[in-house]
Amino acid sequence: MLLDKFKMKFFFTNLLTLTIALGLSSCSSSSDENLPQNPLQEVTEEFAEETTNDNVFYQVPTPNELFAVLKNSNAPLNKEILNDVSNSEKYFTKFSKALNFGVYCADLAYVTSQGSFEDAASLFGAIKTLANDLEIKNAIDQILFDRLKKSLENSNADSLFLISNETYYNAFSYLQQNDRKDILGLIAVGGWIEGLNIILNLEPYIENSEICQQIADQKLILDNLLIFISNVENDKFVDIVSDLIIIEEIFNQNLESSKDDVNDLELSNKTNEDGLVVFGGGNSATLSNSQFDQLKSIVTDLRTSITEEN
Amino acid sequence: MKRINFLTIILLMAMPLFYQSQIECYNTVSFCDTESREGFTRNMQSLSGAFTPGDTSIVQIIVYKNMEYRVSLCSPSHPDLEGKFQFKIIEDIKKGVWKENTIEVDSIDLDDEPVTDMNGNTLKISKTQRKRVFETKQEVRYDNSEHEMSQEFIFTSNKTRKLKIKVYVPSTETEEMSSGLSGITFACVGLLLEHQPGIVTGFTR
Repeated sequence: MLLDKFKMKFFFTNLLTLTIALGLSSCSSSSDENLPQNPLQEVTEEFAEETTNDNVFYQVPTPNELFAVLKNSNAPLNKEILNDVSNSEKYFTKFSKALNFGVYCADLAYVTSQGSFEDAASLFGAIKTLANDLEIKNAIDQILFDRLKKSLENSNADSLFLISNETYYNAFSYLQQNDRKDILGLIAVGGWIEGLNIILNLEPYIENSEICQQIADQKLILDNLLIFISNVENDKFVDIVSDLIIIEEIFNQNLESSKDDVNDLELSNKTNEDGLVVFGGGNSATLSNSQFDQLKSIVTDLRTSITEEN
Repeated sequence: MKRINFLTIILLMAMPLFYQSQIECYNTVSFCDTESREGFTRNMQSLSGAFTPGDTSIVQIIVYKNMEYRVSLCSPSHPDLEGKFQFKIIEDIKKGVWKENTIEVDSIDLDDEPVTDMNGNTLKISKTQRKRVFETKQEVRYDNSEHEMSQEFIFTSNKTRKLKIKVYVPSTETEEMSSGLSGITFACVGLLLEHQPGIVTGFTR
């Protein structure tokens, strides 16, 4: 049911028909010489969105990867956008616990990417509490916790960032092993929304900035996320999915105008000075000021509904 | 009818076994050798699974701009398969192409009346239909069979993009694929994806 709803939206076909009738010049007489010289011409344009394939596994990157990319941006740490760790005790349902487990994992990825040790310790505590409640405490074991303590003691920011990645990875692997797709999907959504909320609040809209590019690129992650969570069956989840579809529509707003440019830059592989193959070519996603504002508004609301859900 | 029922029973019996084999293989990537991979971090988009000989699997991943990625394959339980996996990295690209079609239609005048010849037959005119179709084509970015079946590949990208990794599991002639707890023939294969931030010039790194 939920999947059908996605598919209705997600696998839409955008069909634009432009009909240009040419050459209907005056030809009221029945003689051949008065027949129109130019043939009629009809121009149709068809732009089909990609469809999914059941034999393909659609993967979703973690918030850690997003913040690893943004590690070198000069945006200062904004603690105000983090979910308060004291909220972790207010979540009573598995639904809210799983979503906010994802939220805190994204927060942990963000603060560790910025080397904020104090925030990392308290966020890890909140994650551990929720992991216990979600019965995934085996994934966040004492060994990981001890390593975290050691990294904090040694002020080792790189190690701390790796641990935050492992926290997410371990939880995911554990849930996959135990076939708990519903919790897995909720964590992925919570993590993605929080990551998007953080980058939307790092700086105001600046056309073509690195951060705005990252926001625009989140459309690709959302595409895969919507497929990834299509198996989650939870009545409460429907509202969140509806919001995700609205977010997708905002991302798609400039699809129409950019369609003439689709992949007009030929793909190419180059080797850089370090001998590394660089995949080049193709067009990058873009983001307008209006899209930025719309995204910020809906993501703030959705994120608030997640973090204030009991 | 009996044959259909028999097949259904076999399929129903095989399904839990297949499921069991997937469970047995769920974390194969954790056992892939990462000894010499200093700097790389295991990526969540890695995938483990149970494969039968000759299987093909496709994983769609998202790679971030300026991040370095390493793709490798392993089957710790089946060393005979090591070095024999074929994989391709493919990117779907959309390209607009014009498709033209000419059809014969009735000729009409400005009053929408059919134009006829002296014998009263409706005249036909040619109409060209031009259709701009945006087709998705697959472009192979990397094929390890063109690189001596190298079992790992490191790359980066100048923009965030979706890529498909297509993995072919070879048929083994030397050794039987094992059976594990489930008793069916399969091998646990791990598609390990790792990442590390790419080099950024200047004083920020």
